[in-house]
Amino acid sequence: MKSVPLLINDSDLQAYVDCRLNDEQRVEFERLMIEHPEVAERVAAYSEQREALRVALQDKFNEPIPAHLRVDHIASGLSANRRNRGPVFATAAAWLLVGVIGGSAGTTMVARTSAPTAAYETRMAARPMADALAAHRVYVADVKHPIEVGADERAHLQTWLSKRVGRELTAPDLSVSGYKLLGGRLLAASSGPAALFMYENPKGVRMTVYVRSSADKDSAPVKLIDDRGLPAAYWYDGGYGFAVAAEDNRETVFQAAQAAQRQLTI
Amino acid sequence: MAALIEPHIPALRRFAWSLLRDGQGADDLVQDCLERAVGRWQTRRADGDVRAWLFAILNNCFLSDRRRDKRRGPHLPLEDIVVEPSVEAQQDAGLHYMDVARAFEQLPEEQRSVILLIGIEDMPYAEAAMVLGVPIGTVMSRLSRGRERLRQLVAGEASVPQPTLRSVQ
Repeated sequence: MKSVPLLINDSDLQAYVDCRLNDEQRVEFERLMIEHPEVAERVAAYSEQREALRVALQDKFNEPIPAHLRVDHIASGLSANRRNRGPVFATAAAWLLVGVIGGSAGTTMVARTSAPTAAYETRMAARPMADALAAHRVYVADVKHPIEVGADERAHLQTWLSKRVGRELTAPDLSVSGYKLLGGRLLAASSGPAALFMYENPKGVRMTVYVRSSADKDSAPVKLIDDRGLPAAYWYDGGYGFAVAAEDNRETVFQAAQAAQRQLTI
Repeated sequence: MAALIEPHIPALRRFAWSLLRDGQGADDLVQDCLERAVGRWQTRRADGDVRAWLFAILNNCFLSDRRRDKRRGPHLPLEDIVVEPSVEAQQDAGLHYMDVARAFEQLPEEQRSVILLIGIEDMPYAEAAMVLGVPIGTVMSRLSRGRERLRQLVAGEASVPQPTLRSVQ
């Protein structure tokens, strides 16, 4: 490694690379570079790496801002979000560990707790509405019996689930996201009965909408998460927790969740 | 408020992404940052620079997350995380941009942040110092050391055969 001659100030060198010298300083620095080709070499390398990084990161910069990061969305949910942080998440984690989805919870939970797959998972070890994600994984995979009551008995399904869950529920129309109702079923969550509506799009991708009562009475707006590759969105309203999940792109899941929220808010 | 914050979101996402190298984690970080920013909007200095303020919040969120979870997720293979270059970049072989991106990941976080804020976000040195909460002299020495280390890494890799580029959408 060649060292920078003492007469060349390293700050000037960096400032030259970043085009921050004034004309006089720049001319002076360029004169010095002619006398010291090793400095010129270094400046060239730094400039090249600066350009390469800018190119490598340009596409990320050009991406449209995801809907859940728009300021309006953040602002609308701020107070509720704050209340939902900290202790409430801890409670959610505690009851998650007790086991939430009947006999199927065991295997799902082993997978959850033993395989933190990325940094973001460790950041959010306690997932709100984790029971909904577990239910999604269990029942979406069930080819023969994904539902108990089919969409052809929609009225019956809605009355039945509303009665058991204790809140007036309509199976939301998610055709805006390309999903059609298959039917639904009743599940047992640790907080009591839970309703699961299942949908399918023309490609055969299934989406679930999950509703159960929540100990947390605060409302919170739709928030998008990614649970080991499963995009999901959840929100709270009037003492109930809601979640929408599908192995689809995040924007579609978010859009479906917004549609479901509008239709499920009493 | 939205009009003052939103123009900075693409840059915040780029900064978070290049620090974490994980799209979802980066957006979670940006979301945390925006929630704090919106919540504290009234308490910021009215004459202060919004960009520096936002980046400082983002950096604080990043550092406190780092402290909270010591364990890191598995390191993603570079082919999966480097943004696909534009056609012009691919044609300009002189940029060796894959070499540079790979080498950049090997730098310590403190050097990466400085290089990103100054070289990519075009922040004045004083603003970067404010964002990172360190003296300007520290910014300059991190910049200098980071760039020199990057140069050495790239030069050292120059003899290594070019790995197969994999398209990632």
